[in-house]
Amino acid sequence: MSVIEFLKDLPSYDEHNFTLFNTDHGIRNCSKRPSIYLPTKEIPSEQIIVTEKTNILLRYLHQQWEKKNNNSPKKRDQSHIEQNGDDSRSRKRQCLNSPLN
Amino acid sequence: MAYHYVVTAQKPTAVTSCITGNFTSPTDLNLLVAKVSRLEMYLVTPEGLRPMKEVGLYGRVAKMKLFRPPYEDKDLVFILTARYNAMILEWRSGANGELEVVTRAHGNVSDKIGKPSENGILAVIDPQARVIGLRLYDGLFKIIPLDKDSTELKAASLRLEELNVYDVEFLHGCSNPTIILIHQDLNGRHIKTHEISLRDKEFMKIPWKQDNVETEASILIPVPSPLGGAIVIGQESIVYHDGQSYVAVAPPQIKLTPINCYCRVDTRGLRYLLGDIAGRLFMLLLELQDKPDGTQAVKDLKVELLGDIPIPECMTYLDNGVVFVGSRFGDSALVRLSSAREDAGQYVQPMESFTSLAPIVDMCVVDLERQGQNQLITCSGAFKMGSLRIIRNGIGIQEQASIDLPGIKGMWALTMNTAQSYHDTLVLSFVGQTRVLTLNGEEVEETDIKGFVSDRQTFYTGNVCHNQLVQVTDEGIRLIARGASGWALAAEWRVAGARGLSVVACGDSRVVAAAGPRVYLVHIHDRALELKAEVCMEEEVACLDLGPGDEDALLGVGLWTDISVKVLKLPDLKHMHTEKLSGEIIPRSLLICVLEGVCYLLCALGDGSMFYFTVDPVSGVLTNKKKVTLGTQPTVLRSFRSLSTTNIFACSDRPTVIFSSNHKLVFSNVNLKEVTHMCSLNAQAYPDSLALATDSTVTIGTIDEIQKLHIRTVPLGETPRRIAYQEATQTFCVITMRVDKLEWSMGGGSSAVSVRASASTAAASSSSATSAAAPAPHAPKHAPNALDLEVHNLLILDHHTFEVLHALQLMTNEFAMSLVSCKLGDDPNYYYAVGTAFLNPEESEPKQGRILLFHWAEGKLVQIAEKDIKGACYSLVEFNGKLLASINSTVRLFEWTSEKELRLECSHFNNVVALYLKVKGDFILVGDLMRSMSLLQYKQMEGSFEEIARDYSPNWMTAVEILDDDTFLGAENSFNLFVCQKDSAATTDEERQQMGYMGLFHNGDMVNVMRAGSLVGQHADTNAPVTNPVLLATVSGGICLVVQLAQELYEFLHQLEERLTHTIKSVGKIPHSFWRSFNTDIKTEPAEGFIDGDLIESFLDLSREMQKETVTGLQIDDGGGMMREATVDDIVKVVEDLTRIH
Repeated sequence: MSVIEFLKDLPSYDEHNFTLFNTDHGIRNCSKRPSIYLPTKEIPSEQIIVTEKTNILLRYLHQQWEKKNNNSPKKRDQSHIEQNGDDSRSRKRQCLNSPLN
Repeated sequence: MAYHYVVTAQKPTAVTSCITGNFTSPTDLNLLVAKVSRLEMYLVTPEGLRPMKEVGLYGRVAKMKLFRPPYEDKDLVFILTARYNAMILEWRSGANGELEVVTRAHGNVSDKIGKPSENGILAVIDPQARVIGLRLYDGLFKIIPLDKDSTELKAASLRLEELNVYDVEFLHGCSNPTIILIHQDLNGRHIKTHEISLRDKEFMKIPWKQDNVETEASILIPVPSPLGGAIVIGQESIVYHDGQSYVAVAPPQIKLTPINCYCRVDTRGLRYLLGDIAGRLFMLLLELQDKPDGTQAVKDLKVELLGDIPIPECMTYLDNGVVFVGSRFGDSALVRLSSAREDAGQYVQPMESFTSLAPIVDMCVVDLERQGQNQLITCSGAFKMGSLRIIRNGIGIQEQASIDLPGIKGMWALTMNTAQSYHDTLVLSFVGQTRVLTLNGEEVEETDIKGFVSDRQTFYTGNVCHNQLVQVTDEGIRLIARGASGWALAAEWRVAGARGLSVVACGDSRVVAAAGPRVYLVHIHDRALELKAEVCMEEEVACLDLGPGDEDALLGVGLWTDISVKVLKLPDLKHMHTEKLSGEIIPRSLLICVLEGVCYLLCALGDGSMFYFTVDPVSGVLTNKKKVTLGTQPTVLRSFRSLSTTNIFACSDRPTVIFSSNHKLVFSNVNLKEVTHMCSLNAQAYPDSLALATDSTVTIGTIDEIQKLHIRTVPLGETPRRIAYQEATQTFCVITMRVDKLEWSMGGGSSAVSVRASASTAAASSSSATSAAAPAPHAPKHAPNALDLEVHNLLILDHHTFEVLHALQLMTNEFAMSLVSCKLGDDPNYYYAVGTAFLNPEESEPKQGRILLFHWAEGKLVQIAEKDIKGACYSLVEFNGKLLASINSTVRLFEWTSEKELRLECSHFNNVVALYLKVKGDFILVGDLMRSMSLLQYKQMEGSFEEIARDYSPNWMTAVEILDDDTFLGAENSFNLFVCQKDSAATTDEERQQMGYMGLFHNGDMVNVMRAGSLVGQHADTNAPVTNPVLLATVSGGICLVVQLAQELYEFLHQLEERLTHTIKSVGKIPHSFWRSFNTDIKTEPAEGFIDGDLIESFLDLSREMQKETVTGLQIDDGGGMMREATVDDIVKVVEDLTRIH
């Protein structure tokens, strides 16, 4: 297989791109720099990236504990609440404390 | 206390990441380039890349990835900084059509605990944009599920049992996000896949894995659907694996050097470009076969070498066979793939290069042209891209043609063929005569214009209204028009009286000329001249110029004797304003022009200095008087147009281009020795050019685009390591490193063969170092047979031509570490001292080295002395006529005896590795590998060193410099700067021995070298009250300047800085205080004692309203100690002055 086959039909997004690029005077040196963007308008961020602060070991233990609870029919109601409101961290902490106490 | 200002003179140039996508609109094809902490957005157009916007981030870009959520019609960018700030950015056109960058999401994803992975941060995005995956710490994989509807993106850590992960990617075409990774354990490297459950935030199962892939496998390339699977790139082999089929090849071409980056060419994922660390470009092609069930599978992998490119850091395919290659080791490039082979098997054609100084390893500051302005010569680039860069603040003229013609007194370009817009004639005036040159293509012929006086000196000529020409001589004004029989004199106005005309200014339809004290305004009509007005000044007119405008234009006049500038107004030459210039030097040239909408009057004096004012175009009142020194000789001011902006050329012994940037005048030196006259020339063969006259020649040339730092490249083709300048011999000495290939001969011995022609192999003469007691170069027993051999050379270069005059090759295994030009003891000669180390792979640190002294005289490099030392000589400095060296952990002083020998005088031992030395008087500043810096004093009487003070913090140093007697600047390897001060007045010994911190700052780039000095000419009029400038050069090719400030200015700028952090919103929402805080693995402390000059200077780029908002309530000293409310103009003035220090 020749290199020609490697290089045939190279992808083209817009066939005009780079067609007027002038290399007659050898390799061009790009000295144009883009103008600087200086934002002064406050555009609020749509989303905040938050990182889970819980240690993964604690999270694992918590999950194990939850699994155990799921298996015990008595606490089914509570675990049901737990699953629905999984971002209420304060409640999780309470649950965590109870087996320790 | 000490206060400092740090500012970037040259932004980092190393490209760290690049991607192609549709960022600015769904149809725009864009290139996004990351250069350390800056993003540059380009648009792909038929003419090439068009720069759009540059964005500064408050963080170093660690990873930059594009993705497109299903609900978006263009691409978004995910960026993770080195300090774990994550952000999702969108480029869009704002209300006024200006491009703006919107932070769609942001947050910090660092964990309090966790071991940062040794092989760096990895970031990947699911091809269906469901989740972002991050490998930040060993044993953990962080996911950020991309939930469109939630206001919070909750990142969660998953336990990753593979500790040593080399690469991660998301596989295509999986119902649940699935990662594939290369990891290493005791048995070797393996690939493994993990399916992620976004609901449970857990890894669910391992769809497939493959143990024992190649031991050097380090890159994964996910293959798009429908094929799926991934390609694993190793050092010798390439493997495709999709869980079922496994195709492996070991192409011989890739064996020599490891592949370090790739980019996908077609969306189906059948072709990829691979780049290796030697700067070779390959194409990888997946060959398919049809399976019985109608689908396709990979049959074979084919690799072909396409040609040479810059050593790549990253690559991206743009369009129609054009690829952007980003490099950290030199200039980045745009290249075109073409099946038409050019020469020597190259299927790659370079199209455009993007100048990069990275990495700057060493530099020296010299005033080469003795113009009172320093140049910076840097050791830049590495391997085949190694070069010296000559950097000066100024503008370059590219010479196109030159004619030898001495004694030119004036020069003008004319258009004789009025049907054309090009200039076709150049008129040159001499004492007592005028000559006309016709530009015919590139040919230049002497000719005559009928009606032109040729036996007198022309003071002005030009095209005027009604297709006529005007010529002004001492006799008067001649109007030349084209009749049926060609050009002929149409009208003439002769000056009355004994005095001839001596100065003149001309517009399209009027001429103003002066004879003695009398000023005449003459109107030009069709074939007629009419005297409109005449006034007599108090003194003789020395220079004049007509401002823009028609009937009511302003006329500036400079007068003899009372040394004043008067502003008159047309049509009746009414006197408007008088401005006395101080001093006794008469004005020689005057110019009124509008730059960026502001009308200026500039008046150059006979001693090379210049006053400039802003002019009120209605009242003619001159305000904002400023003075600069441009040269030492009478200066001629001329305006010219370049790139559709008006600029001013000051012709003198130090030619200067004056232009306006952000409504301030910037003075930029030109790389010419002397210019007496100039004019714009826009001829067919020389478009957009300048004609420049010196004492003996006329040069036609094009002017570089207006820029502040002018960079010239001297390619070396090998890695430069150290540079020193020796004025006495007019040479530079450069240490370079060349990588040779070892070739084993039949007899079992080996010989090194250079791979390509480079500076050391192509030198005019060469020699090899010898040693009286050479340590036998023995082959290390257990080391693998190294195929590459590093050969160190000493090059002597001419200081004007940069031609390599001599190359001296050091011994095998001998590495040159340090270099200095010195004059020792009573010896009148200047020597180059070189410190070396013998490297033995079995030793933890070098045990042997040499200090060599060379003398360059009469084209020969003579070794004068050799001193064996017990270790590596990391640094050499001339110190009180002696040679100071840091050798492993010691600092040693050698004196130069009358027997021409280096004799050890004294030593100091209190370092881990003493890497850097700086000296001032009797003091020595030592930068340690990991024990920050310490100050020694040399006791001349005792002949010993005493440790005066030390910084006890564990800083890993990369450069040190002495700012003043008590203040020291250090840079450490977490990209921070700090300033320490010794406290001689402290009461206890203990306090005195401890250096206190006076400044902490996160520079954001690793500083390799610091040199005292600045790039601004000493004659330039810098009003900014700053002292002790130090230039810093970085790994990424950036150049910074640190200067000391007075406390009042510091406090003032600190307030301004604080206000600017509120005015200027951070892209990615990283607080400025977070970015500039001193941050290492072990501590983070708020920045102090430094002003962020980059932020301060951005004040000038703000809109007037924003400037006003920023300064409201800011108090400024009115000069007399009274505080008052600062105005925008006050601040602009302060900041403008600061921009002129670099």
